[in-house]
Amino acid sequence: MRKSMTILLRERLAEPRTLRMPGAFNAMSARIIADGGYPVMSLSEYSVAASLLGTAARGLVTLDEMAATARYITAAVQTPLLVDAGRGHGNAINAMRAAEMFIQAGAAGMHMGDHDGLGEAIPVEEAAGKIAACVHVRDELDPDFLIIARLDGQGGDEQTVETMVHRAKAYVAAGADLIYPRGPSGDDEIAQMGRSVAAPLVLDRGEGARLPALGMAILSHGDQALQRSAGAMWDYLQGFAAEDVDYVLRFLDQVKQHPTGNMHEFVGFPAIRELEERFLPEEDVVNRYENSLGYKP
Amino acid sequence: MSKLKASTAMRRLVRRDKIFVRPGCHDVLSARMAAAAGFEAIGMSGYAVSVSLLGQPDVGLITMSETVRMCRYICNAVDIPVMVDADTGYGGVDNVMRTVDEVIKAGAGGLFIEDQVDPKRCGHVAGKRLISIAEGVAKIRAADKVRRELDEDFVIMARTDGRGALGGSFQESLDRARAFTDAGADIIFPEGLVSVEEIGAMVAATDVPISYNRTGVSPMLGLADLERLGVRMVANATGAFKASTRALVDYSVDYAADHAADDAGQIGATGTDFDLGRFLRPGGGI
Repeated sequence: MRKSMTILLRERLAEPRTLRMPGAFNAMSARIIADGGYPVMSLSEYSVAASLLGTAARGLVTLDEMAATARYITAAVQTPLLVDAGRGHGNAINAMRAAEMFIQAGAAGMHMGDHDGLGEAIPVEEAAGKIAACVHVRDELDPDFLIIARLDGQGGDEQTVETMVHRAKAYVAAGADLIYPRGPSGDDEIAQMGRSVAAPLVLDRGEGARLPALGMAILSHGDQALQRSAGAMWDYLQGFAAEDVDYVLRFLDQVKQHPTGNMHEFVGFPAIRELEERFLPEEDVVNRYENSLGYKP
Repeated sequence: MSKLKASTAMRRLVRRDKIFVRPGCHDVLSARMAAAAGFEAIGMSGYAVSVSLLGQPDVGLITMSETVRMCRYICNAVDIPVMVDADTGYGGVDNVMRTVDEVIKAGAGGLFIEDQVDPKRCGHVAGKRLISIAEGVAKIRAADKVRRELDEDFVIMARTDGRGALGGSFQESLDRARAFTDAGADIIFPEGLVSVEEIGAMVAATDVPISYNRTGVSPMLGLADLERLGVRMVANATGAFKASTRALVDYSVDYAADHAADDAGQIGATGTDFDLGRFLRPGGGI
């Protein structure tokens, strides 16, 4: 039987290492990340906004769309998934529905931010209430599901490490399992957060989070997978528009030795054939492959 | 100036005496990039949607509603007409009618339906089986009927897998192309032709335009050659998808090896400064 992803992620968090977390944006990217052996992956609102909707406005993505995308990913891989719950899709009551939907979608946890959608932080009491509401859902439905409180920053000069610690403590008191501070500046602030907050940290790679940082449990690589994929698609489409079949032939030649060179094999036709042989009537399988054209899985 | 309806734009391209290319897409981002690269039309690839959305190969696992949902997202986000891969129409004649209805309402320029036994599979993978010509004709007639009621410009493309399927042949493909034309198809997609001679003979024997897909068992001809042969529409169903897949595998390998950047707190060599934002519709300060 398939292992619970929430339990698996809790076990991995208990290991003495930082978990590196690439971001998936659909089932295919998730499968590739899972094949790479990563211990956890994320799904951000930005990546769904960009890939599914083609917009930069992450606030346009509905809870339904996030949950559906999460469900496709969790059905495709056996790697724990952390879902970006944005601002909780409304108030504490909406946040409860978000937690419920992400648990039902098979996610291992969610992170929810404390901003108002315009770059300002909401009052700490209100944000802690939203966390407590999600914790309530967690305790009802799956105590191993991770509720991660994200500190989105207060904008301007108001954010200090003291205000961040103050908020983090309030969210931990509300039951948050991990704290995800956005924008701590440098080692000292991260170390201070790690010392002062009684919960492990999630940090963004490239924003000053050095790997051996005190208290860091998860290092997020944000949307870099999506960026790489998008850059490659753009290069391809530009080249194809300019050179047509010459570009295609050169591309196919370049990927000959690549794991994706035999795309049909890479995407899993052989596994389908194995299932067919196991479960379909025999005459359905043998004859059709031997007497038709194309790639033979 | 009002925007041309997608179906009208697609019909004009199919009727125009000039070849055009429709690169494949599988989500809005890939669709917007194809539009930005200057293409006149776009195809929504069943293969690429199956793998990107489900993580599963193109063996008929995608449902009609999943296809329609993705189609609606894409059609809402691009100004060029979209040709939708509607597999077998997801069942029998009734399913075909519902599919055409939904795809028209989702804003596509056209769709194609193939004559494989349901569940179908990728046109360039062995193991395809055919429904009878009569059943295929009934499906195209049904699609034509719905189109006439809802949007006369909507383009119905009949795909025949007669060339490579079990019991198939070039003659089978040709017979089906003619029958589907008589049933009301605007354009024929004879999947899996294996030679220049077959392409030429298919164009000569068919009264409506031909769509061609350079992949798998089909020759990789240049546009000028295809135009000379009389081909009207050229697919590149999984090109951008393949580029994306390759990049993701490379990313996964690079990031796993990139400890130095992790230790230094940098985004590292696996990062990219690619400006994704220029392909996205702007947000309102969210």
